[in-house]
Amino acid sequence: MSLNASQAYEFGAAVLVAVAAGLVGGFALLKRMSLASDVLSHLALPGIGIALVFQLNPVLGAASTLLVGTVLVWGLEKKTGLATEGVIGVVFAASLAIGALITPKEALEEALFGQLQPLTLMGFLAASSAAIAITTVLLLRKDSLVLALFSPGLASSTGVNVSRVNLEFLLLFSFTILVCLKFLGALLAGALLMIPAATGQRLATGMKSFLQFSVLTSIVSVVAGLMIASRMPRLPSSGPVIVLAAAATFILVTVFAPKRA
Amino acid sequence: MPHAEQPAAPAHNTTVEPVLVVQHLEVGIAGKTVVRDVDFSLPPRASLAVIGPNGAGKTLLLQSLLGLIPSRGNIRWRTGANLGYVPQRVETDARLPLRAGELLHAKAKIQRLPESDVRAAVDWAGLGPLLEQRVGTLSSGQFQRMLIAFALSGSPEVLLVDEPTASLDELVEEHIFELLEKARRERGMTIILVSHDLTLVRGTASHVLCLGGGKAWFGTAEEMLVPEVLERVYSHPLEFHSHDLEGKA
Repeated sequence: MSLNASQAYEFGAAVLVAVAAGLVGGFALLKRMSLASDVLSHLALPGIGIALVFQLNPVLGAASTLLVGTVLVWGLEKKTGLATEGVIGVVFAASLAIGALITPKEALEEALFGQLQPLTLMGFLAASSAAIAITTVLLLRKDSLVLALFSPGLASSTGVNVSRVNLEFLLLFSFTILVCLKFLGALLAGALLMIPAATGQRLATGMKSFLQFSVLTSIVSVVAGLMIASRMPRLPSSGPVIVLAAAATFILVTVFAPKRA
Repeated sequence: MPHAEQPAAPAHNTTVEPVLVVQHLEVGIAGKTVVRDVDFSLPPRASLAVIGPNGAGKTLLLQSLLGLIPSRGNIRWRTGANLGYVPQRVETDARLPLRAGELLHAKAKIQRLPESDVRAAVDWAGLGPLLEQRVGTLSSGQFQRMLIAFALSGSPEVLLVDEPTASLDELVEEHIFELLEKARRERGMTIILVSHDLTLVRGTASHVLCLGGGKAWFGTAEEMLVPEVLERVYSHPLEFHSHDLEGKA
C-alpha cells in the first residue's frame, strides 16, 4: 500500500497520538476514570459548537471547554470526594445537549465521530508535537502516578504532591482527548483511551507490561482502523472503525489470552 | 513476643538535640478536635509508642506528624530528618497491575535513591522472592513486609509505624515486630509506633504517648505503663491490661 503525503501525515500523527492515548488511558483506567473520559470528551462538543458559530478554530473552542471541564472535575473530586459521580453524569448529559443545540447540523457528525479529511503538514506537526509532549510529561510523572494510585497517603509521605499530580494528570488526559478529537470525534475519543488500556490489563503481569500492551493495542487499533477506513470511501469518518478495531482486539485477547491473576 | 533491649537513648538528655519536638499540637477530623495539647520531645534512637482507645486520635496524630493532614501547634523535626512511614492499611485493588519491585523502584526514582539502597531494604525485609509478585496477590504479612521495605528504602532516621499488625496472625506479627526492633537497634533509627498491644509496648518502647478523652500524657515507659495512668487513658478499669502488665513486671 503506497501512501501519499497527507496519508503519511495522518498515519504518522495517528501512531504518535496512539502512543500518548495508550499511556494516558492506562493510568485513566486504573484511576477508574472511564466515566470521566466520556464527560471530558463530550465537554469538547459545546466548545466546538460555539467556535463554529463565531467562526473560530474549533480546536480552540474544544480546548477552552475541555480546560474548564477538567478544572471542574478536579475541583469536585477534591472537594466532594465520592459525590462526584452524580455531578459528572449531569455534566456529561448537559454538555452533549448544549453541543447538539449549538453545533451547526453539517458539522455535528464530524464533531461527534471525527473526520476523514487529509491531514496537512501543519496539522501533522501540531498533532505530533502535542502527542510527543503528552508522552514525555506522562513518562516523567509515571512514578508519582504509580505511588498516588497505590496509596495517596504513602505517596504524600514520599514527597509526592498528590493533589498536583492528579490535576496534572487530568490536564494531560484532557489534552489527549483534544488531540484524539480529529480522528475520533467527541463521542468516541474516550474509547481510544479506555479500550486499549482494558486490553492491556488482560495481558499485563506488572505496570511496565501493562503500559506496553496498552500502547501496543492503541497503535494496532488506530493503524488498522485508518487502513480499513481508507479503503472504504463511503465512510463519513474513521472514528467508529478505529473504535471497532480496538473493541475487536479486546474481544480477541479476552477470548484467547491466558488469564492473569 | 520479642524482648528487645531497652533503647540506649536517655529519657531526658538535654545535651542531645531532639529528633522531634511537638508543642501544643491539636489534631482533629472534619472540623472536630480529637486530641489537644500534645507536648513532647523525642531523643534520637528512642522508641515511642502511641497508645490509647479506639478513636483517641492515634492515627490522626501520626498523620499530622507526617504532614499528611493539617493540624494546629508546632511540629519540629530535626533539620534534614528523613522519615519513613508504614501505614496501618492500604486498600489495594487486587487487579492493580503493579509488582512489589515496581512499587519500591517508583519510590527510589522519585527520591533519587541508589539501587543499592533499595536492595538493602529488600534484603532487610526478606522481600527478595516476592519482588516479581503483584501487590494485590501478597498475603497480609508479605504485604506488611513490603510496606516496611518501602519505608526503609532511603535509610530514614525515623520510622513512623501505624498498627503494623492489625490484620496479622500472631506468628507473622512477631516477625514484623522483630524486624522493626532490629531496624531500631542496628540502624540506629527512632521509631514511633501506634499500637494496641501493651505487652509489646512494655517490651520495646522507651517512651509512651497516651491519648484518651481528647487529652495526651507523655513520659518514659516506666512512668506511663502503670495501672493508674492506663485507667485514666482508657477511662475504665483495665482488667486485661493490668493483668498483662503485672505478668511482665
